[in-house]
Amino acid sequence: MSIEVQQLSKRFGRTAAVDGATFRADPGERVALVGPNGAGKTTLLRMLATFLPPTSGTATVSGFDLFSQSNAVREIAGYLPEGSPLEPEMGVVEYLRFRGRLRRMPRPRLRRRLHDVVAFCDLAPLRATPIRSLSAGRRRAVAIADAILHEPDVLLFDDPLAALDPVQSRKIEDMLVSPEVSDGRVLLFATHDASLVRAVATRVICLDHGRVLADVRDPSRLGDRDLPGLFDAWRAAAAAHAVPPPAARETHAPEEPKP
Amino acid sequence: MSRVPFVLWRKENSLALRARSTWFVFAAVAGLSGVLLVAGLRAAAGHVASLPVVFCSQLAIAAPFAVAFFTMGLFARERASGTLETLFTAPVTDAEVVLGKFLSAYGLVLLSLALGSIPFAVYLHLAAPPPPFAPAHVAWGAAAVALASAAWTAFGVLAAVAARRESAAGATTLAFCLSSAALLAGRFPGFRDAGISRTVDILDFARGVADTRPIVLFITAAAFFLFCAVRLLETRRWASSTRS
Repeated sequence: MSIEVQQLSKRFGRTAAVDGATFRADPGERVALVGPNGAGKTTLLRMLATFLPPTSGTATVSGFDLFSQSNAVREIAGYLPEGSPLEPEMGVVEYLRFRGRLRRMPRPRLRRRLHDVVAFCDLAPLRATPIRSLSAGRRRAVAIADAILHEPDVLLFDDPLAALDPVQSRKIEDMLVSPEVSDGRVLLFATHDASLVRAVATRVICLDHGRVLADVRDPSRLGDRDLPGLFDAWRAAAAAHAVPPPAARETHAPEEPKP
Repeated sequence: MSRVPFVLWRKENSLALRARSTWFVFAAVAGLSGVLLVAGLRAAAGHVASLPVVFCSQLAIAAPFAVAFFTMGLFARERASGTLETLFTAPVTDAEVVLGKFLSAYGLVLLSLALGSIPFAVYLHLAAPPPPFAPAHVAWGAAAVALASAAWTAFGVLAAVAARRESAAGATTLAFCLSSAALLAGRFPGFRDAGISRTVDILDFARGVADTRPIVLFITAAAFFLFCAVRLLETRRWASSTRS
């Protein structure tokens, strides 16, 4: 149930969106992918979700290869894309049922899971409500319900708190740390929100220009510093070290900045 | 067989039938069929033997408009709303997606043709005395147009994959379908009784001529266009991810 990424790269023309990323995430870990805009967080998640083909490198999700077993990866991964695109004209349960059928879930299991995720995401009063009339927070909840509907081994969430108010953000944070979402699974989420990192993450990976800049296994050591401050500290620490080849960067990540 | 195409078909049709624009197109196709029927009957000037040909000509001209409308947004709309990303990160293959989209568009085109037959049914009901004609020729002719529409719809799916804009996909599909309809009915100057229209005439069935060549042509064309759409979709997904 792990994610293993080795020298994964993605180039768009001459630009390297992800450049030799290497890391491993194990079950039970909630890994926050942080980094400035353009660092490669979304591209990395899109590759792991098999939406984008990598340019080079290898990656396996629960042992399935991204290249040669992409459909197997899709079956065991739950993906929340940036902006949570949904079908606005469909009702909440209608949409989730469609997604479950698309994932070839057997009817009794789909019925049971629909009941469970609708209750878990607090969508029961909105079962027949068209998605277009939901608030941003409710839409995000529908998208999370979709991502966990088929009980995936691995969850890939791209900016789960984007454009949410503090109350809605708190609800989503609670969902992410609940056993329903995170128990026994790998949760890899990209975010710009330091409070989400502190509340949810058990590990932080910082990307910068597509490279792994830092890999912090104890986020409590980050202290109260904001993310841009941490990025600067990590960059300075990386510059102080001799620039290692990308393969060594993950194992010899710069020291975590002291709070 | 995978049930994914049918899941997609059901969802697409359900959404399309909720849209006002769909019902507007149904009404427009029925109205256009009525106008073409009146024009055809006037042109036929009492040649009752040509009634099935008039009916099928009217359907063959109206069908491309329905095909263009129901196929042009198949991918562009999903691309714009971002749902293409959720679709292609579900365990579905490109072929299943193309087939599902084709089935949904084709179902709506057939429904349009059924509604486009209403003016003809009304004419038969109101005409006094009832015009003599062979119902079997009408049925065969309508089936030939439905089969041609399958090939046109497959082309529309291909255009929808190829074009980034809905309008470009719709215009390309409409131009292709109308020109091929004119070509297959021998309506182009220089093509009447010559070339392809002599080999395959879409209206032969309405004249009572049972010919397997149009059937083979339309089925082959539909399969070819769908195959091209699947391959192009794979290529596009790859190209879009490597473009700077």
